[in-house]
Amino acid sequence: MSRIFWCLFFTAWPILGIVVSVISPQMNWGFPDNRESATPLGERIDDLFYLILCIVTIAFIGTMVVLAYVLWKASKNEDEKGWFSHGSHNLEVIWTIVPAGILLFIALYQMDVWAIYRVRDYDLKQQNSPRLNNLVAEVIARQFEWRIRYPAPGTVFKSKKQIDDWLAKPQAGDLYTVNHLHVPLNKETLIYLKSGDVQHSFFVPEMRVKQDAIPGQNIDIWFTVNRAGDFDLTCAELCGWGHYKMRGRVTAIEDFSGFLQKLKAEQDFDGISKSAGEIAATGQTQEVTR
Amino acid sequence: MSIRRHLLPYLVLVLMVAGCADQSAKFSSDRRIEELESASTDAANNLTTTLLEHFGTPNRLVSWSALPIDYGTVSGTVLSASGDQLRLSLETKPPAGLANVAVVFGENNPGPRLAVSYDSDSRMLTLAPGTKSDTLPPPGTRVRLIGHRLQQGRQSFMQHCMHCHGVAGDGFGPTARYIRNHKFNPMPRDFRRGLFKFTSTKDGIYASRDDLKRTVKLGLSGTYMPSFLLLSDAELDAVVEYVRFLAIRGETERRLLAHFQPLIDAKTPQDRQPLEQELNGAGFTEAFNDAVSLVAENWQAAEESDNVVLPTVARVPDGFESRKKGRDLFIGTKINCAKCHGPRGRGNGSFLNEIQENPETKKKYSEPGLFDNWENKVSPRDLTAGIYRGGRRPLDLFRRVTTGVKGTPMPGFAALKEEDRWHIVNYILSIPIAGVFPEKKHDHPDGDDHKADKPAPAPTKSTKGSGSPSKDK
Repeated sequence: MSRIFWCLFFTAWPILGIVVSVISPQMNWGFPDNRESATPLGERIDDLFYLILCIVTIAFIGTMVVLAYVLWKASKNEDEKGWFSHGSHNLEVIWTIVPAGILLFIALYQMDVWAIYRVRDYDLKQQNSPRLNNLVAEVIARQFEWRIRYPAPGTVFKSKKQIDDWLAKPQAGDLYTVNHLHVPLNKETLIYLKSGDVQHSFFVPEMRVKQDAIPGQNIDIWFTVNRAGDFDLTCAELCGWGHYKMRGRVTAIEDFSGFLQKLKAEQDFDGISKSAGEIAATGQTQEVTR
Repeated sequence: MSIRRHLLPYLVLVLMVAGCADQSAKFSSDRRIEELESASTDAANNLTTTLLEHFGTPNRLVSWSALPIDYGTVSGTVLSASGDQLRLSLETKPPAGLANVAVVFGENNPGPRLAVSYDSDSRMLTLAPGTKSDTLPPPGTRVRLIGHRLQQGRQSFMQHCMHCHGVAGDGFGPTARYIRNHKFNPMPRDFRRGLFKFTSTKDGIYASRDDLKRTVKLGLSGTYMPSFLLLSDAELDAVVEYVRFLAIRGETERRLLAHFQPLIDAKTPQDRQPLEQELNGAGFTEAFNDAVSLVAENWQAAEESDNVVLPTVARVPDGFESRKKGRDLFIGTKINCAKCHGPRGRGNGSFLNEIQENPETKKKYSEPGLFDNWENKVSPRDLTAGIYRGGRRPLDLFRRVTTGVKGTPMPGFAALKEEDRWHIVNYILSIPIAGVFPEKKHDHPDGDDHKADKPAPAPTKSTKGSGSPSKDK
C-alpha cells in the first residue's frame, strides 16, 4: 500500500509541474510585466529559449515516464530484490551521443544570434564604418547608480580610435545624465558599458539585454529598439548592500536629437536664459513617450 | 527519542518568534548626552523627554506647528461620531493606508487625538482610545488629519537613506563605516547641523527644499550619494520633508547640549549644583524655545527667493580670452584657487601641507590638511577629473564660486565681479577637456557646431611641454 502511495506521490509532482507550466500563460502567472521583446534580436533569443524549453520538456517527460513506470512496476512486486547493473557499453554510447548531438545542434543553431549580440564591433575597426556612429552613450555602473554620458550632439566618429579617445576622458560638449538612458527608436544602437567600482550587470529584461560591467573594460552592447516607451533597467549582478537601489530606466524615443538638444540647453543653463530655465526647473529632462 | 527528533524544528520556531519581538525604534541620540548624563541625570532626562515630547519616535512622529515643515494635512468635516469612530467628509483624497495621523478638531484645539486607521470606502476614521475627558465633536466640526507626508517620508527614508544617514540623520548608519574606510569618500551627511554642502542659497543660509530635492534626485556624482531619480515626485517631496524634520530635531538637540555645555565641563559637584539649577530650570525652557525658533527661522529663510544666488549677468561666452582670465584669477594672489586646488587643478595645493585651525573650537588639528565642520578630512576637488559634485551646469559652478561649499574650507567669492566669476567657471569647465592651459588653436567651446565633424583632440598634445604655470602667465 505504502509503496503505491509513494509511487503515486512521486509521479504526481512532475505531472503537476507540467500542468502548471502549460496553463500558466493563460492564467497570467508569469513574471509581472512579462512583455514581448522590444528588440528584434530579443525575439530571436526568445525563439532560442523556447526551442531549448521544448527539448528539455521532451527529455523531462520521457525521463519521468520511465521513472514512474519503474516505480509502478517495483511497487507491484514485493518479493523480487533490486537488480544492480553496471556497464552496458551500448547504453553508455547512446546516452552520450544523443545529448552531445543535441548540444552540438544548439551550439550551431544559436551562433548567428550570438554573433549579432556579442561580435558586432568587428567592423568598427574599419575606417569610416557606418556602425561607428551608432554610438549613443557611455553608461558607467557604480554603487549604486547608472551614470550616463552622451557625446556632444552632432559628433561624428570616423575611427575606432576616436571612440576610444572619447571613452578615455571627457570631451567638450558631452552631455550627462543619471539613471535614465534615452536611445533612438528603430536605429541600431551602440552603448559602452563601464564600471566605476565593482562588477555590475546592465539588464533590460524587455529588451532581452543583459551584460556584465567589468571594472577596467569598455564593453560594447548592441541593440535596436523597435517599440517606443520606457523599459526598466536593473542591475543583475549582486554588487553590494545597495544593489536594489540601482533602478534605472531606458526610454526609446523617435526624436532623439531633439532630446539631446533639450538636455544640452538644460546642462548649459546659466541662470539667465529663460527657455532653458523652464526646463532646468524640473531638475532633469524626463520625457515619457508611451 | 521522539523529543530529540523534533528538537531542531522547535528550536528554529522559537528563534523565529524571538526575532519578531516588538522593537520600538528610537532616534539615536547625540553621543554627548552620555557625558551630560554623568554630569547631571536630571538635565539629561529633561533633554531627552523634551525631545521625545516634541519630535516623538520614528514610529510615532510628532507634528508641531512651530516648525516650518509640511507634515501633510487633509482637512474635512465631521459627519457623525460614535464611540471612537468618526464618519468624515474629506476635501482632498487622502493617501492610501492613512493611519496614525494626528486628528485636530476645530481651529485651535490644543489636544489632538490619534487616529488608528481610516477606511476610505466607508469614510470611517477610528481614533485611538482617548481619556475620559475627551469628548467627540458635534457633526459639522472642521477636522484636520495631520502627518501623512512625514510618515511617507519616514517610510522612504528608512528604505533608501537610513543605511548611511542613520535613523536620526546623524550620518552614522550601519553602512557609513564602509564609506569612511575609503579615503576619497565624504562621510554621509550629518543633518544635525542644518548644514548642507551644495545649495543654491546665499552664504550662511540653509538649504532650500529644491536644493535637497535636487540632491536626492540626481545624487552627488563622484560620491556615494546615489541618484534617486525614479522615485515619484510625491516620494521625493516627502523624503525632503523628513530630512528637514530630522535636521531640525538634531539641531535642536545640539543647541540644547550646547546650553548644557558648562554643566558638562564643570569638574566638581559643588560647581555643578548652581549650574544645574540655573540651566535646568527656567533657563531650559527659554533655551529650548530660542533654539526651536532660531532653527525654524533659518529653515524658513532658505525658502525665500531673495536668498537664492542667481547671476544678473549672463555667462561670458566661453573661449580662449575668458578661460585665460579665469586661469589668471585661479592662480593669482587675489583669490588664489591654486592654494588648495593646486596650480594644475589637481586638488593638491600647497595649503594642504599646513596644519589648520578648527574655526569653531579654535583648536589646531592634529595633522595637516583640510577638515570640514564635521571634522572629517576633506580634499579639494581634483578639477581635471571633470566630476562636479554640486552639479555641472554653469549655474551650479557659479554658485560654488559665489558661496563656496558650505561647511567646508571652500570659501565663497561673492565680492568678485560676476564676469570674473564666469571667467573662473569657464576655465574650470575647460580643464578636463583642454588641459590646464587655455589653448588658442584647439579652442573648443562647449560642443559648438564647428567641431561637429571632429572630436576634440587628446588634450595631452597641447599640455605637453607647456612648462610651469608661471611661464604661461
